[in-house]
Amino acid sequence: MNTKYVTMVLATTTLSLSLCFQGINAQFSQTTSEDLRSKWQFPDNPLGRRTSALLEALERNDEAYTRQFIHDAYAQDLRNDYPMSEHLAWFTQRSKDLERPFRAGGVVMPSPYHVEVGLRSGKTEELFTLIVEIEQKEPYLITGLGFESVADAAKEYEHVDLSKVDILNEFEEFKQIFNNDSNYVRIVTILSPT
Amino acid sequence: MKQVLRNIKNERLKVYVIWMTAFARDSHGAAGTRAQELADDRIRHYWDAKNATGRGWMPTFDMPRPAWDVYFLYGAGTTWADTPTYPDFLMHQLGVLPREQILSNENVRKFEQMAKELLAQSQNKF
Repeated sequence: MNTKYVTMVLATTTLSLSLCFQGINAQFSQTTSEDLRSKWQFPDNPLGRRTSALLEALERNDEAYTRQFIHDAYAQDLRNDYPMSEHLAWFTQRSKDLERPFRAGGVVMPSPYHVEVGLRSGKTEELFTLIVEIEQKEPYLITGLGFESVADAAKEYEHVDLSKVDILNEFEEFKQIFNNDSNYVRIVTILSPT
Repeated sequence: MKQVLRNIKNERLKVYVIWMTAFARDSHGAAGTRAQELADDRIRHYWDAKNATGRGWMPTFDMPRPAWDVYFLYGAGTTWADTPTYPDFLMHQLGVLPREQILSNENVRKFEQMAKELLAQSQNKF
């Protein structure tokens, strides 16, 4: 599996996202977070802004831009987990996987601090999942990242025995099962397998 | 769940684990893997790709989104007409359900205790 996942951590810096894009680097000063958010069509919230900026860095594949992005948008502990050369290599590899230009779509946002974005390579049409996690309070810095090929993820389960997991399509099906077992004390739990 | 089943050996207890899609990597295969980890003859596993089950509880709790990360306990004799009835006990990790029912060690103990009481009542009933 082609995945890199970084554990969540909290940072102490108080930089806001709008400040992240001012000053230091000329390229950043010319592009506002609103421009990026609009370009990548993410909601106007901290997660949307962080994810838009990350996609922009992936698309640009420009070392100076990426270096600045990491400096501004990563939580301190995430930055410290790896040397800058490894962070940059992660971006280079992802840009290579995606073979620009790529398209974003299929967004799953199970919480305001966690998003999973489907990215499709413009050349090979291969589908990838990008996972972004941010802090739950200002300045909402990025605390975790994941990236994997959807095809690789499916291969992971090729040999799993599915015979013990029945498929439910309608609530009525489950209601019938539940009512048929009315002589039992019953526990119902609804969970994500991941 | 493992802890509750370990502490309650009663065969009159049934558990339905409904695996649903909250994240991009949730799949039937991922559910199969988790089902292997959570193996007990009293457990039935289901894969609900459309989140139909979680949506079933939306009117029960007046929730805007499908229920997930939830644990509902129902006594013997309970059946549903249209929508699920309010459970005899519940635990959850959602913002929209009662805070005092949040998943915690204390509530796991209460959940287990209530399951034992419901099982004792069911022995007399059936």
